[in-house]
Amino acid sequence: MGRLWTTFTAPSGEKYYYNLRTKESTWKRPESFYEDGGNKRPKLTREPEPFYAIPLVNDWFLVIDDIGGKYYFDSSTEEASWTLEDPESAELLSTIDKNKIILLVAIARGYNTNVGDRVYQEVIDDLKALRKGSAVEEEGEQEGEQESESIPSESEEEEKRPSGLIAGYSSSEEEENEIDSDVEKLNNLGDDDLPKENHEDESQIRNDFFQLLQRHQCDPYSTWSIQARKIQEDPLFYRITDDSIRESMFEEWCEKAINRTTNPQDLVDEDNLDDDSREEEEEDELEPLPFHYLAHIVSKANITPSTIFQDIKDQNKADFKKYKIKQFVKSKSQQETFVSKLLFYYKKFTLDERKEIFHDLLESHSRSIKKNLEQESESMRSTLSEEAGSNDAYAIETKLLKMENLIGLARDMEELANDPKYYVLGIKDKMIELMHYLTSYI
Amino acid sequence: MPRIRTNKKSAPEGFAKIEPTLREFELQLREVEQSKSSKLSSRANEELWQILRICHERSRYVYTLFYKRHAISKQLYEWLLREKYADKLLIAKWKKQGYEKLCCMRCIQTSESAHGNSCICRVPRAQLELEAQKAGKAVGFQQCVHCGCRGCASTD
Repeated sequence: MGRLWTTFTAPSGEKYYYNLRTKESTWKRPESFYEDGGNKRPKLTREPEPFYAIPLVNDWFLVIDDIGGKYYFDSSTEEASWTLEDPESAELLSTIDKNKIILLVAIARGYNTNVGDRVYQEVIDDLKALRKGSAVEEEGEQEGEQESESIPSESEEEEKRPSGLIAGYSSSEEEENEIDSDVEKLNNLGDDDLPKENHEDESQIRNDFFQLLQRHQCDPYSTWSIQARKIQEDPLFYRITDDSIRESMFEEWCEKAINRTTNPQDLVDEDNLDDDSREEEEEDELEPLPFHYLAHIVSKANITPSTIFQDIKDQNKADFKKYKIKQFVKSKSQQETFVSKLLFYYKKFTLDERKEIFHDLLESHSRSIKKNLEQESESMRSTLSEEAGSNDAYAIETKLLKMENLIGLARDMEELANDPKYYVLGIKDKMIELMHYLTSYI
Repeated sequence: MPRIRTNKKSAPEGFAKIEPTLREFELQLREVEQSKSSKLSSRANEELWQILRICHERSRYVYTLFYKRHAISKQLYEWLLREKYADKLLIAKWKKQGYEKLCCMRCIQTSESAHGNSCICRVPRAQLELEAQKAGKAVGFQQCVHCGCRGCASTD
């Protein structure tokens, strides 16, 4: 059933049709583009195929097809029928465990388990045993018939099943009831047997899942939410329905994959990790002045008499980014004015002269500095006595920021904090000068 | 603007293995940052919830790496905490009984809530359902207002 005709557009713009098989072309639209005429799409329904064949007596077979239908097949005449016309077979069938047959029907219909082959084998073995048994019985006395009479309902049911299941639940009330009970049994079977089977299957599923993880090269150093994306296309993924179970299996797999010699690791006390980290947190609260880092970049820069802001920026592009200058001083013109003013001091004055300028500036603000110091004299004393290693740039900066914080530069001395003269020294020199200046007050 | 850290120590050995995952988390956070927020005031917090969820997930990841899978060294773990890849206060709580699944710190801070009790997401689902059944209603609780948690009792 393939497509026979294809449509093409001629250079004139008109459509014409081409037959793929006969290679003829025509202007006339064919009745159907497909081989079989009317239907555009191939039929979705398909013929059920036999799934299990259970041998009975006298060449009869009980056949279960893959949509769960049941019929009987006589291999001597090669005829299939909905009813079992061989009394001996019917008798045999009535004596075997019906639940097993129902389970087989369920499996044929797609019930997910892997005990299927085993059950099938069991049924065949049972039947073999029964056949032998009945042969012996028949020799002695004809008890078999009585037996089959004693449980007629079951054999009846067996016979009615195929018509019911295939014909889409026939109309007779009696039958419906029976079918309902069967369907119920099927459903119950799922519920009852699941836990037990789960135990048997668990290791199997686990192995499958582990292999799945292996196959998709999951990263044991990653996390489930990310790795799950790799494997969720796979049908095996859905063997386990609960995501939390999947996750715990993944964790287990990771542990195995990493395969550390599991020497018990000592706990880490997160609450007070190191002294460092707590100190760091304290330092996090220190906020540098807006021009702090910009001034730092200028102090490190290579300054010639002709240097302008753009040169500084071009040379120190990485530093501008690293110190997030844009976020400290938002407008570019503000950056430029500040740097230009600062460059003036760097170009015109030597280090000693600049130190003097810095000192004079502090002197001119001495009143407000003194006022702020009065409240914080204790903590200032301890800060001043702190040793900052002469090579540890970060510690030096920390000390400077602490001192600036204590004299309240950011709080109520905006004038001083925005004065370019305050930034004429590099961080280290500034720290030393400021320290000398403050010690004279305390 | 906070101070810029210039004294960062380079990562201890083993960081390369977990780096892609951490980067993935960072990417997710970036995505939330760049996404457009809802104009409804009732949904104003939802972005924050997303961020808290991802942070929680990342903390959980670091936590399992060290305590469950034993995949990283103590040095690396401490480094990760110090660099704030994980919330160390949250992890400290996870080690305590009854707090194994805690969603965020704010949900147990009784001093920050209106009636001096912890957040509703800490109440076991079973208890909520029982109470709702007694009152003849359906469970009203969906997500908590602090972090969008849907329930983080250890029994859930």
